Amino acid sequence: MFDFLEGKLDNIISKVKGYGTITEENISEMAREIRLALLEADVNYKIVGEFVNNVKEKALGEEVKKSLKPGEMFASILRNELIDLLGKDSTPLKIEKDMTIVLMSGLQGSGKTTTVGKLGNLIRKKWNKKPMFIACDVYRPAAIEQLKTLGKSLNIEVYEEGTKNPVEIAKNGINYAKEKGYNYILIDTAGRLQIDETLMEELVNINDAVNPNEILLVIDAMMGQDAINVINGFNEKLNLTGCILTKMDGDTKGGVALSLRHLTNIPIKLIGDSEKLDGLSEFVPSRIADRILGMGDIVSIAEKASEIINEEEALETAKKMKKGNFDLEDFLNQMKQIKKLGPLENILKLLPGAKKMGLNNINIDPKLMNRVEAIILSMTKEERRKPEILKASRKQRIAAGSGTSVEEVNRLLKQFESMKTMMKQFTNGNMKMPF
Amino acid sequence: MKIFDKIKKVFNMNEKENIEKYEEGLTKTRDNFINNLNLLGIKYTKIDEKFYEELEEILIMADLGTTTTMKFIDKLKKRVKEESVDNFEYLKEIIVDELFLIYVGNEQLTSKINYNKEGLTTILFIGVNGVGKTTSIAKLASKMKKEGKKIMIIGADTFRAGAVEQAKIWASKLGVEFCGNDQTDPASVVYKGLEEATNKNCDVVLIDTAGRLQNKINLMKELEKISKVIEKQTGRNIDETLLVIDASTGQNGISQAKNFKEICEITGIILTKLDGTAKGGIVLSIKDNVNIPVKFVGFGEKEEDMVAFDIENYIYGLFKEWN
Repeated sequence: MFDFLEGKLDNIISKVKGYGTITEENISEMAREIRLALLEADVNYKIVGEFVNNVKEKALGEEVKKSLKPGEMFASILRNELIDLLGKDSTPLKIEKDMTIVLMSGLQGSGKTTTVGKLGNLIRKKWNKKPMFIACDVYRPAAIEQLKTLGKSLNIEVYEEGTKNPVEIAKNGINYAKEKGYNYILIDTAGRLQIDETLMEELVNINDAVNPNEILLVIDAMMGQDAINVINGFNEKLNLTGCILTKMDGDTKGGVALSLRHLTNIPIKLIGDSEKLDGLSEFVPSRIADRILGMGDIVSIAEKASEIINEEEALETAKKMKKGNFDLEDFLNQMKQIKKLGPLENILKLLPGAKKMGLNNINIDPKLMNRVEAIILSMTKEERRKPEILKASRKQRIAAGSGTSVEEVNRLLKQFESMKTMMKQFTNGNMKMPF
Repeated sequence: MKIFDKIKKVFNMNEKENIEKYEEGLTKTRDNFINNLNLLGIKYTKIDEKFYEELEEILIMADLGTTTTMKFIDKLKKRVKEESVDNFEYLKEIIVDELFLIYVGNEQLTSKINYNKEGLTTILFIGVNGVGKTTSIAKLASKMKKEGKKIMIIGADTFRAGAVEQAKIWASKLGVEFCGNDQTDPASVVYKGLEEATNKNCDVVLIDTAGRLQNKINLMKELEKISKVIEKQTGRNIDETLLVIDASTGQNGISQAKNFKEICEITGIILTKLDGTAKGGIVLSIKDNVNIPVKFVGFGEKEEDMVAFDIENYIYGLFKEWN
C-alpha cells in the first residue's frame, strides 16, 4: 500500500549509503529528495518541512559524523522520525461492557457505509458482540438500501425509519437496540462537507442525542493536502475519538496517515484494505513506518550493530581493510560481532532491497559459519596474522584440530584471499562480508 | 501572446458564434481576477526566493504536485528574469498566463460533449470508489434533458450494494429512461441497456460503472470488457469516456488517470466536490502529465450543481483565499 513511497525512500537511502560521511552538502541533496518523496506521497506540506529539518539537523549531529556507517545512521533517524509522526502506539477500538455506540462521520464517498458493514462483521467475529446498524443517511438516494443490503448479507439487523429526521432515527434506534439486546451499535450518517453548517449541526445533534463511545471519522487514504482541513473541521465539531483510513488497498502512498496523528493527535484505529467485508485491519504505526521506508528493518540492525560493535575496533578494522592488510584475526573478530546480531538470514531479510536480490528466501547454514570459526580458532595467532605461512603440515594440523578437512581449510583461505581483494575496493568504509 | 488571446484561440474553433459573448464575460472575470489577485504582493516588495517559496506552498497545498509545481516555478523564474519583471501587477498576469499554459498548452480544448450526429451517443463514466460517478450522471442527465435530448441511464454498478437502486432513483426523479440490474454481470447489463436505448430511440446513454481502484487487475479487465461490449454493439468508438475525480484527491490522481487511460480512451475528466475546501489542483497535474482535460466541474449534491470547466475561474479559485 505504501509501495511508491517505499521505492523513493529506498533509493534515497541507498544513495546516502554511498557517501562515506554525511556533510552539509550531500545531506542537503538528500533532504531535497526526501522532501519531494513525502510531498508526492501527500504528506502535509507543513509537516514535510518540519520533518525534513529534523532529519537534517540530526543527521548533521555529532553522533552521525563519528559513525562509520552514516547511511545506516541516517536511515535510523529517518525511521524514528517517521514513527514519531505516525504515533508510537496503536490505539484499539473501544469496546464497552454493556453497550458500545459508534458514530460514523465523514465526507461523501469516503466509504462510511461499507466500513459500517466491515466493522459490524469484525466486532461480531473478534469480540463476539451483537452488532446493529442504524441508517441515518436520509439524503443520498438508496443509501438506506445499501446498508440494508449489507446488513442482509451479514445477517446484521438494520434499524431504519426511511427519510425521517436522522436525530430521531438515531435515538429511536438506540432504544430499539436496548430492547433487542444488541450491544454494539453502529450509526451510519450521510456524507457531508465539514463546511456545511446545517449538516454539521445535524451531526452534532445526533452526537448529543446518543452520546456515543466512539466518534469515528472515515477518511479516504487517497486524499491530498486538503485532508487536514477536513479532519480539523470534523474534530472541532465532534471531538473525534479516532479515524478509519479507507481504500488502503489502492496504490495510494497514504501520506494522510502521516499527517493525521501529528497534526491532530487523533489516532487511526483501523484501515480498510480490501473490497471484501472482512477487509478491515488494525493500524500498527511501526509496521507502516517500516513499510514506508521499504528497508525492512535496516535501522534496527544499525541500532543493534552500533550497540554491539565496538566503534573504535571497527574503525581500526576499516583502516586495515582499506590498506589491504586485513588478516584472519580481524576476520574472526568481525565474525564474532556479526554473530552477536543473531541469525544471519534474519539480518539479510531485513536489508533494503533484499527482495530484489532474492535474499529474503536465502538459507544460511549456521554450521558453515561455525566451521569457519573453528578453522580459524585452530590456527595460532601468527598463522592468523600471516596466512601465507600455512603449508601442508600446518593445514593438516588445523584440519584435525577443527574437525574439518584440508580441502575445507584450503577453501576458506582461498575465499579469504578473494575477500581481501574485494575489500580493497571498498574505500568508503562500508563493511560488507562476502559470505 | 497575452493570456486573453490565448483563451480566444482556444475557444474559437467550434464556438465562433459564442465568442463575443464569451469575451465579454471573460473580460469581466479577468479584470476582476487580476484586481483581486493580490497574491503575496502586499507582503513582498521584491520578487525573491521567499516569494517563490510561498507561491510553491500555495500550489502544493492545492495538490498540483511537485513535478508540475516545480516546472511552473522554473518557467516563471525564467520569464521574470528574461523580461526583468519587477512589478507585481505584471507578475500576476505572468503567473496566470503560465498556469494557463500548463493546462492548455497549444491545444484546442472544448468542454462540449461530443455528440454522435447519426444516432445514439454513448457516454461511459469511470473512476475509483466514492468519487461521485452516479451523482455526476444524474447532473449530466438533467443538463442534457434540458437541451431536449432523450436520455437513458444504464446502472451497471452491480458490485456496490444499492448502487443500481441509487441510479434508478435518480432516473425516475429526473424523468429519464433507466435500465439496470445488480443480479448479473455488468457487461450484460450494458448490452441489454444499449439494446433498449436503441429500441426506445434514445439520443444518449449514460453508463454508470462500479468504482474500482486502478491497481485491481480483475476489475480493470472487467471495465475493458464493458467498453468492448459497447464498441462492438454500436459499431463505433465510445463517444465520451469520462473519468470522475474527487477534488480532494492527492497525487494518486496521476496513477488513476494513467491506469484508467490504459484501459479506456478517456475524453475528459469530471472534477467533483469542488464545493468543499479542496482545490482539485491534481487536474492541472493530470493535464500536464497525462494530458486529459477537464470537461465538467461538480459542486454539490443537487442535479443542477454542475458546470462546464472554465480554466480562468479555476485559476482564480486557486488563489482565492490568499488574497
